[in-house]
Amino acid sequence: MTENNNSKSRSVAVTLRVNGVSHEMSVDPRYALADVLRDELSLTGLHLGCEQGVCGACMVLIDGEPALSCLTLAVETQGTEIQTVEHLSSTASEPGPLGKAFIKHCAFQCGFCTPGMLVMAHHILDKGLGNDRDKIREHLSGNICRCTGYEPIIDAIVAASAEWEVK
Amino acid sequence: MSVPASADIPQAVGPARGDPAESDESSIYHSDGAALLSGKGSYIADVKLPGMLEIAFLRSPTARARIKSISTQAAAASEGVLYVATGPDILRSIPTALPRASMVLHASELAPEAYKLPSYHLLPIDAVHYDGEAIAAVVAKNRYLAEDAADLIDIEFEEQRPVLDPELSLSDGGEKLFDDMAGNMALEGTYGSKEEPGSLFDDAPLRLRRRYRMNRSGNPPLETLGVVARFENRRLTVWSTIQRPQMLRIALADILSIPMSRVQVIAPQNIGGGFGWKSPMYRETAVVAWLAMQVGKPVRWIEDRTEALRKGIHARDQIWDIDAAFDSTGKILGMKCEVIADVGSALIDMFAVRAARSSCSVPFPYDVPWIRTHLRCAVTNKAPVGYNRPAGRMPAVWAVERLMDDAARKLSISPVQIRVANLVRTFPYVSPLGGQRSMLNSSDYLGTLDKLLTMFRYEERKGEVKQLRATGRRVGIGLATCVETCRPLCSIGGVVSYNQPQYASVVMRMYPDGSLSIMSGDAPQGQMRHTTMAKITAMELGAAVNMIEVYTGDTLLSPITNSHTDVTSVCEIAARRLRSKVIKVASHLMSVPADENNFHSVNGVVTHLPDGKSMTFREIAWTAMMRPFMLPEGSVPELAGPFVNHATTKRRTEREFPRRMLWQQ
Ligand code: FES
Ligand code: FES
Repeated sequence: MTENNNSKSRSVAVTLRVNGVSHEMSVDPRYALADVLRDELSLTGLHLGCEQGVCGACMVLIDGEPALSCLTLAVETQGTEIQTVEHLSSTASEPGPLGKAFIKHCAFQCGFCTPGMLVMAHHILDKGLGNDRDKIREHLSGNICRCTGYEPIIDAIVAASAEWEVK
Repeated sequence: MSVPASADIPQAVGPARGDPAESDESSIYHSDGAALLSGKGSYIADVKLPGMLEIAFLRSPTARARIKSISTQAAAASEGVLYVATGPDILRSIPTALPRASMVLHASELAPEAYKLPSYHLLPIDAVHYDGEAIAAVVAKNRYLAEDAADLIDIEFEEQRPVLDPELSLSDGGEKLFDDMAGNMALEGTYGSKEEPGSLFDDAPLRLRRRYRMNRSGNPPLETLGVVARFENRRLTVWSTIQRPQMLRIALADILSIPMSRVQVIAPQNIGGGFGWKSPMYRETAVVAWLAMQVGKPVRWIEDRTEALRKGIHARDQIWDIDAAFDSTGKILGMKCEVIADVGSALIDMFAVRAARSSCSVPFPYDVPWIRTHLRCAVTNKAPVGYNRPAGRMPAVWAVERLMDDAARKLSISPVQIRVANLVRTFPYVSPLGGQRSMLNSSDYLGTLDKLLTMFRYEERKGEVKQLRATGRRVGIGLATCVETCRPLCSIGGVVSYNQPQYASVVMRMYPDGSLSIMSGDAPQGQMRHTTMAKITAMELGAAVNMIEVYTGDTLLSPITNSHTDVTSVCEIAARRLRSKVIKVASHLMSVPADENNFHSVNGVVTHLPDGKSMTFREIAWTAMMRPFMLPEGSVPELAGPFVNHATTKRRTEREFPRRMLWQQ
């Protein structure tokens, strides 16, 4: 890493691997991963609802594990694999099984929490917990939805689990 | 007729007119869904303009203080900073005070009661009135640097003891909080029975006097506020998380003294929840617009959660002192309510007091023969309140339902019994509260209650609750009822007492290929209105739903309108009118009489039933717009229009109000 200490905004060279693509960038070490993904890489799927680790709207997968990008510094993620909601939800025109289940079960309204919900839902389904409502509840406990309520979201995840290939 | 062939002529997808059924799950039309489920939603923080700078606000750390001095030198010299603004800076270019600077921010003087709202400027000049009130704004290259600089602004305060108790605020000893208010009462109103109760209360078998207090709270949406502004070539464009973009445009034009024709407000396609929280015009919005004009570059402010929670809007915060009379069966005979609403600093538009007014002036689902509410709104040193779901009603419902339970306990009857004894049975029901203007027109409250009790397994669950309580769990079952007022669409009250257009309007425009767009000045916040509007229109017009695109929130594309649900239902009217226009052209081209009843339209194909002749929307629209010479002399080459439902407003306005007053402030 090279550091430039001339001014308050220092920059550090990092390579971020996001959705299978490597990005060589120089970022201020105090920048949150969320800001870098949204503002520098235009991956605006993740949302900032609280910027203090409470709402889950900013969730991404780092090396396959759910992580809050608002509390993660971009420089910390050097050498990891980051996946965002854009990557998980294949193509925009045709929602996959999880998307379809979200529509069928009315599991979103304003959609602001939805990216975080989808990231966590993927994780739950990949772990093969999609048919256990209690486990789903436990996993979703860090994702706040202010509009929809949680039952429809749980219903959607359970429904999607029937077609899910567990990893 | 020569019409270009098209592969786009819709196949049979989407619901046909009068046939909304959708067979196959995968064909569910969901215009909102695809983007939101793939991280492609378009929210305020996703708006990115070349060269855009960021704004951070410095907020008051104290609830009440005089500002002795503000020093911004260090902040201005801080890295990446382009501009620092304080109240006095803005005052030089905007001397007029809010809310009176714009008719849409303060209640009309035609309102039945005078609203005594304090005046304020975009940023405070010499005093702060609540914790979290914005004092200064910094424009910098990015938010990190803007926040660094905001920390360097040095303010000397002369702290004053904040008034946090609304009763104290209204009492004789209450210190006056605003120089330009006579006292601390922003609104006083008496609603309900005009005649005196006589001995009703003294003779009642059961008399209850109770105080019910509902605390201050707020229902913020998950997305905070955000504003992006650009001033270019004398035109101002403002993207904002606003529930009422058309009203914001009027307010900004008035405040900044720019003709409305040069102001465009755009609410992004997606807003991350509203709940009334995004209804008022926050001062920050105008500050951001003003800053765009000063720095000549696009600027944005994305609120953080802490700012949101501190500055509000907040909600509820009312004290209900109720004096109630019941007969021995639990039937309520009379209710006197002394209500104190803590509206906070009220430094926001008139919604600060409207919510409390709703709380006291809307009928309950109970038949209360004599009822009077006396409302006093107190300003205090807290963040302003506003309309926040459920639009002011919660404290009133809380108080009256508690009263019902307390009376039931006194009379040893069940919570269900007392509600059955009091729910309105015959409709229409005119309550002394609200009178003819907000009558309960039709319903079946007893049936609804009954259904609820069955679905909830009320009796059974009462048993379960007992068991759970025995194990130490603190659970219980309560009953509450509420009449949710339907939107005062077309109501004259809205026109005169909050200066908003009480009608809904959309523009529908068909293009030469037979597809069409709906342009609405409403700003949906997660109600799936894009989908709903497209579906209603498809059904009524007989169009294929996939050929309809809904654009919302852009004041340049859309007509002035009220917001909310009315905008969805006006699509039905609009689609019918557009259908008439389409059929008129079709009948001319088919040389058949333009009798709408003889036509059937489905999936973008219009059929003249008597002889089976048919044409596609594409053929009709292409002719209307590209070959207008084929139509009768004087035909307008378009299939479009703003479509409005405002008949009631017009009738009542003309009847009840002298013409002169409608445009005078
Ligand atoms: S924004 Fe990261 S948890 Fe809320
Ligand atoms: S859908 Fe709005 S916050 Fe979840």
